[in-house]
Amino acid sequence: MKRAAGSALATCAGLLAAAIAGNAVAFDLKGLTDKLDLDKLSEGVEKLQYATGKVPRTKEIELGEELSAGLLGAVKLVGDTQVQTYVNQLGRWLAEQTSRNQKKWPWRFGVLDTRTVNAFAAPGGHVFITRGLFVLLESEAELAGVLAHEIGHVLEKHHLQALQKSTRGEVFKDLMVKSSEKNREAIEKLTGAGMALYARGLEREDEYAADRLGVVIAARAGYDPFALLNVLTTIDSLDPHDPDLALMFSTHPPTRERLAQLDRAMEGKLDGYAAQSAPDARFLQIRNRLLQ
Amino acid sequence: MLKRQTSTVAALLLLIGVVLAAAPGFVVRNSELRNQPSFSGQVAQRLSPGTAVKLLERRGGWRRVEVKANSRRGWVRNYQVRAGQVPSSVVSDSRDENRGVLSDLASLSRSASGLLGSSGNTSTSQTTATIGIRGLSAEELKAARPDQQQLNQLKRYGATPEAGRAFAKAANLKRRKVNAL
Ligand SMILES: [Zn+2]
Repeated sequence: MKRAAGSALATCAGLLAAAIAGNAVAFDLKGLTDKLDLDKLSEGVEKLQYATGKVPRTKEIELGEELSAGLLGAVKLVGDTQVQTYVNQLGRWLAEQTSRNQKKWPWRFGVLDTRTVNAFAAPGGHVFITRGLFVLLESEAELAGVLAHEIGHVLEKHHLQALQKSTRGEVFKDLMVKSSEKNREAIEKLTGAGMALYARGLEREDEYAADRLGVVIAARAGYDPFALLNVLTTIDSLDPHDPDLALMFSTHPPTRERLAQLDRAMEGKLDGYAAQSAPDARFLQIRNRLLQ
Repeated sequence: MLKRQTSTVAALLLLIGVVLAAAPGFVVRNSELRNQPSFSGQVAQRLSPGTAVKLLERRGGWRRVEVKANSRRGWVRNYQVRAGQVPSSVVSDSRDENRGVLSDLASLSRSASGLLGSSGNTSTSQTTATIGIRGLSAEELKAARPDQQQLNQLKRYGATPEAGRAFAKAANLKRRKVNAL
């Protein structure tokens, strides 16, 4: 039902655009062009597109940067260039296996300096993993699985969609307005909504989808896709009352359910990619830096 | 000479293979030991977390194990077992026996790094200055003010596609064609 309404709206936008184009010719013939504010009308069309989910690349990146700045306002990056370079190179290699492998997509990865066990993504290609989660991992393939899961959220625009839903697309319309003040306001509102989203978590289905995408991206990049199952097992085998897990548990579906769903989705389909290439010396070296 | 070296290497590899094949491990979660690497395989035994096993070969998502207590062999999902000795104290939650098996390992690696803070399990929502690294709470996320300097730092760390490919090459990682699930 919702979907039908969405596509009807998109069709409306298309019709409106056609109508404007037609009118422009008609009015021009009558010498009345100046009475019609074409700019305003086409702005209206773009606003409609925003409300229905089409956010252009530059705006998506801009919003993702603001959300990242928000996250980084709550928790800083680990101040170790070697660590950050390592996750960025690994992350970029993973992103190479996706539809957003071109240079115009500025993938950025960061290790956050907190003992809390979690990972985050922001639109445009921003991915974060906490120090607390990193040190629980046992191999580069496990790290690849975590980063690829977050890349999956970016590719599927889960955060954009959740924000469009929670703001009913209203604020997104103002993203396109020419006035820089309105634009600024929109970005600020969306950042606020985005931070609330990080505190609340995405839809369960989005998490399962990111798990499925994550294992495929990791396998494409040459890693053992089953490593993500190991990460989930590790998390599910920790003390559930550990306060460092509270945020992750409150913002994700039960880990057990994620394991069951992912295991079922993978069964028999990715067996041929399980062979471990194990470039783990460099992983362990970086993890040691985080353990110091 | 060359031949002898090769055979020595081969013997060594074989030895490593044998050692690897007999690696000690333990069960991490409730699992079913099957007689075949398939969900249609018959269940020979149910295994609970903390059960000692020998880890044998891997096949896709499956792992062959030998249960130490009765030498029974069979297959479990690979993620249901871990390499290493059974943790000395298997902390198990009475409501949920899957939980807690790796708590010791995890807190060990984290306390080594000071990640557990000064007094062990301090609350993550604690906002007063604590020794060691802080936790992150939902409240802190909602109250955060954007940090542009940190964002600029993040941007500087970004790697080019070329750097990503070089990273893969250094570890001999090869692109593979994999269909979406
Ligand atoms: Zn997720």
